[in-house]
Amino acid sequence: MRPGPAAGLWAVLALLAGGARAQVLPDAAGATVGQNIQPNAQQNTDPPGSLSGRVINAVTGGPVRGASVSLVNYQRGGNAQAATTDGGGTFTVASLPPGEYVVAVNHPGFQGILGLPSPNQLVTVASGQESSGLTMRLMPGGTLSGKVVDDGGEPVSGCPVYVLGPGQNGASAAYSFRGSASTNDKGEYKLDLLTADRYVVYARCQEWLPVERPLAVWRPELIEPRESWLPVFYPDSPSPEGAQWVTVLPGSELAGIDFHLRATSVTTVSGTIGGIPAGIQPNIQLIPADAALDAALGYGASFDLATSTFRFQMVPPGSYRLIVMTNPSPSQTDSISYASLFVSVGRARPAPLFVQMRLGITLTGRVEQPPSADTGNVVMLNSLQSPGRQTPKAAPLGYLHFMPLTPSAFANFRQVEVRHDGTFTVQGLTPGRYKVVPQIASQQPNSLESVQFGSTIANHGVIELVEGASGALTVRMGGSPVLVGASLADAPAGSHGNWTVFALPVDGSATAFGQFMTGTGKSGDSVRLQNTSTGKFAFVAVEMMMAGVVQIERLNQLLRERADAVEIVAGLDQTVNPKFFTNDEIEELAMAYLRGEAR
Amino acid sequence: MRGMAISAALALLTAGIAAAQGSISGRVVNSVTGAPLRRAEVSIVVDGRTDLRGTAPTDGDGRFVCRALPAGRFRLSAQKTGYAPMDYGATRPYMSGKVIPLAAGEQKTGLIIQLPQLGVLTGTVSDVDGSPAPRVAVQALRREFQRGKAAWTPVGWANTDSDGRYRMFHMLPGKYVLSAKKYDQPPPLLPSAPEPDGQAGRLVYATTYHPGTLDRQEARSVVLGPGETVENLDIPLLQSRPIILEVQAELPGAAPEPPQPTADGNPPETPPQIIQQGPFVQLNLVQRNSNAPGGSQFGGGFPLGARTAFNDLEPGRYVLYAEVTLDGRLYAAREDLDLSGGSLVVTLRFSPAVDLAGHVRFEGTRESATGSRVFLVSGDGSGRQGAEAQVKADGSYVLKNVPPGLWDIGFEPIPKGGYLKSMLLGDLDVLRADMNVTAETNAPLEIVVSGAGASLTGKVDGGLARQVVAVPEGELAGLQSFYVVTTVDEKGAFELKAMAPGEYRLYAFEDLAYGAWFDPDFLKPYAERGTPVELKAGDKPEVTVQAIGAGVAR
Repeated sequence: MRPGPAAGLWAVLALLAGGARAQVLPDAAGATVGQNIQPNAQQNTDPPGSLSGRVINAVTGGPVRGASVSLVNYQRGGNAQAATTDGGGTFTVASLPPGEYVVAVNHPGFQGILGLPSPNQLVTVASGQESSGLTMRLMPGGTLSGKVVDDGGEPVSGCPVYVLGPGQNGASAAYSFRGSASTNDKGEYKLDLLTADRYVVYARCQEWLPVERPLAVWRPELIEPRESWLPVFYPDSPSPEGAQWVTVLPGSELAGIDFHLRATSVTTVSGTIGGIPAGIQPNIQLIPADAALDAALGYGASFDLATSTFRFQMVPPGSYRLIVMTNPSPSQTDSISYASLFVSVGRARPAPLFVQMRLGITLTGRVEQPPSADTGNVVMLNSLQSPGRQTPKAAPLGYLHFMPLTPSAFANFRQVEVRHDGTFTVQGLTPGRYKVVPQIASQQPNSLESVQFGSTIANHGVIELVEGASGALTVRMGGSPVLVGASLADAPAGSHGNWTVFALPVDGSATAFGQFMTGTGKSGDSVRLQNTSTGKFAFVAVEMMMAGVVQIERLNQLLRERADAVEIVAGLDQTVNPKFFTNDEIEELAMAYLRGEAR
Repeated sequence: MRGMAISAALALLTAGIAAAQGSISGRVVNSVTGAPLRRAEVSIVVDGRTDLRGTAPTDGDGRFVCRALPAGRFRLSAQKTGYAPMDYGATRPYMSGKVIPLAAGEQKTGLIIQLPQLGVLTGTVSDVDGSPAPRVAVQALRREFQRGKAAWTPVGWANTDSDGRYRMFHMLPGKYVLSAKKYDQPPPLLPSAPEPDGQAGRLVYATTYHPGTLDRQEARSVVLGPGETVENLDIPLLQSRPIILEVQAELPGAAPEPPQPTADGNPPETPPQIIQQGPFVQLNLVQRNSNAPGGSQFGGGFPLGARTAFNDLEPGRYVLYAEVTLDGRLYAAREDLDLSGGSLVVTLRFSPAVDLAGHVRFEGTRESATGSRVFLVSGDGSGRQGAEAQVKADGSYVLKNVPPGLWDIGFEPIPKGGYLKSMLLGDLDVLRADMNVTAETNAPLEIVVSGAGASLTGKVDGGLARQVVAVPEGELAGLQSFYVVTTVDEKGAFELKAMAPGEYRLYAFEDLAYGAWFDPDFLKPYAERGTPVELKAGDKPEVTVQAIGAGVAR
């Protein structure tokens, strides 16, 4: 019988595939990451084999030099063996104990379409033999370049050009920052190593333009810039609403993303922050209020720790929201404070503002489990156990996640431990809408029945917190187990035959913290899913070596939009038929999206 | 004092409003092409009163107008991104220009300020196998004088792009050498454990100079003119054998006498000693004039009593310094290293940091010490800031926790017309000699500030000169802080104020680049045309200085 992958390998695979964000959890009874199963004597005495291969550019077919190749034993997990490709794109790893290996390849210049991981491959290394001929493809990114000129056609140097991609987790931000470059003396900029994706590009040159100031006593502290450049969103809009999405195709060199700047009067917005401990540097942003409240578009302030005063220079006229939040350190959530203020900026300098910080909202509550659930038998997922909290008595029931939903001024994701007796206290929440997602680990899979905030039952677990909100939160878990199976009977032929089934919440809420209902199996199998919960899901099956794809929100979205949504309820044993996606299909889907054919 | 200055200025302005109908107008142009410069900023100041200032922008034809000016004497300057700032009437950037006298209601027109365009140095960096080397740090160095010695100082930085090309722009005209260094990923920011043996034959990237040498003496220098682009400044990266520097640390008196039971039978107090899991030593290795963005700092730390190592060092001069806090007390250690090859072990010997206490005394001025401060800057080339102290009303101050080492002393503000008269650390004159602080330093640091500096008036004879440089001689010779530069007015007259008494030689130049006077080799040919003077406090001699024409002072 062919042994399945060590559970520990699972997390390794996910990491290889999805980058650092990946957190696909092993099944509940899984071993810890990286744990080695004692190798048997047979493996120790067999002469080793070797593996060689070649890494090529998926667009040009040419060799990729300097790619890092890593091999992890499929059955035993453990440390990776690594190699780097030479000028001809070839690599060799010698002295490999015989067995099956997962081969992954990476290069900083090749990030895959939309960050799509390059598919890992499973290879067999035979004792005493040289395995060769393995070809791994890497999908290149692209470059984006252009020029920034002023209203007289003169190049503007030192001007930062920003590249924004679509929001990474779909839930709380419209854009995500993807890179920036500064113009040179000819006004030219170039961003390389960009992931093939669709972007909003904008230039925000905060240059202090000269103005007439009559001869007078010069007090530098009172001299403020009065004229600067309006931000320009490509091709020619002062706000992101008028921006045109720019597509960077794999291996393409997109040139001519040029900006023509227009001068604007600007002013300085300054003020004092009250109610903040001395010496604390808060996160302060002035975000255009007509755009989606998105931190990626905010202006940064200078802040004086001694006086708790802030200063934004070169702010064009318009409406803004001032967002202040103390740094959400996970260990000091009790001291999180926040403030939000609408600011209207005209041509004249507004009077200094005073911003009073409020302590973050604290909610207390409890998770109610039905009487039948035997809390005495609670067993934690290994991967949820944090070091230093291993005392069995103190073992928490699990966690509650508070996920900010759009529009979110603060993008403040919180996670709180649920104590053994079911009570919890979450501190440092900021106003906004949150989806409450329980992650309660017990031997019996259980489900969310309802979330009640005060006397109101929250729709789909979404609660709304206003400034100064308080009240008790009750999270009721269902009594009946949630049992879901997936059939791999309709798996397409021709693929490797190892599948991972994912339940993708149709509201996109899983990618924010990487918790999926999932299971693995081979074509034709029936698979029992782990980490089950109730809700509406799209069930997809991807090739196991591509599991990380679901971590990328937009690919997740492209996949879930193409599968039928199924309502999972407690108390039934439902069997679903996932929609299958081969690696090639996923790549085609991503390409079609880039070309604007799939939305 | 400040309040007084402002009210006086306001009075001047108020008095001037009725008559403030004068104007000065002109154009700002590219010094080479003559093309008008748009959106340049012209600043106008009242001569001798930098706190009275106004600005005006230039239009599309490079024209500016400074309006509503009272009668007076003014100075104008212009600046624009991509150009060196220039004073009106100056021939070089950062040098003073001419005074513009303006009568009441006068409309002065036609002034031209020529800005030299900054230049570009560009080329390709290639790896050892000849392929383009992306993301390599390239640096331009210029010969500048630090503490009286010429040193190649980094003044420009750029990174190569994915094709190995770099473009270093906005460079002042001048003479440069270029170097490149590739930092392997991840950059060696943290010291690591010593590498095992068996690394023989291994090579690491070394700082390579254009056109392809590890020896700065063999680097080819590049002369960049205003607005020029010098291309093909290619640098093929070279490698060298890595130098392994192992560092261990011990405290002074780390091998104490064996503890003896005290007479009353109590256990003895144990002095600080090396322990295996000791307090954390903060370690900094600074490569002088190196290639890293921000000055090549290798930072990190290790527990006192353990060892750490820098594995991939290239030959060069380094400063290694370390600090550790024990029982609330700061200990510091410092080593100058000139590494040429091989591997070596350095044992850091920590000494306790000391408090430097003293007084600031004022002479010949009514100024008080209130609001002034004393501060230290490292003299070892690492640029690190030292202790800083506010001076109390009685003139006393304490610089706390000064690590042993070479420190330069700063004091501010110096009263108008005054000078730093003396700084004595015990008997040592640390105004003129280096201050080396050791664990044994306990003498007071006494600072005397005089409000009555020496001054002189002079005339330039035998030709045109724009600047007069007073070069210190005798016991002040070579001390950079005693060099003084002043401008010559339209009648050939000049004035030097607030000078430290002593011997000087005065040189009158027509055209001089900023800082050229620090180079003794530059001044040597003109020694005979310089005028020696000896200045005494309160004295105000009149001197005549021979002009040194533009033709020679290049």
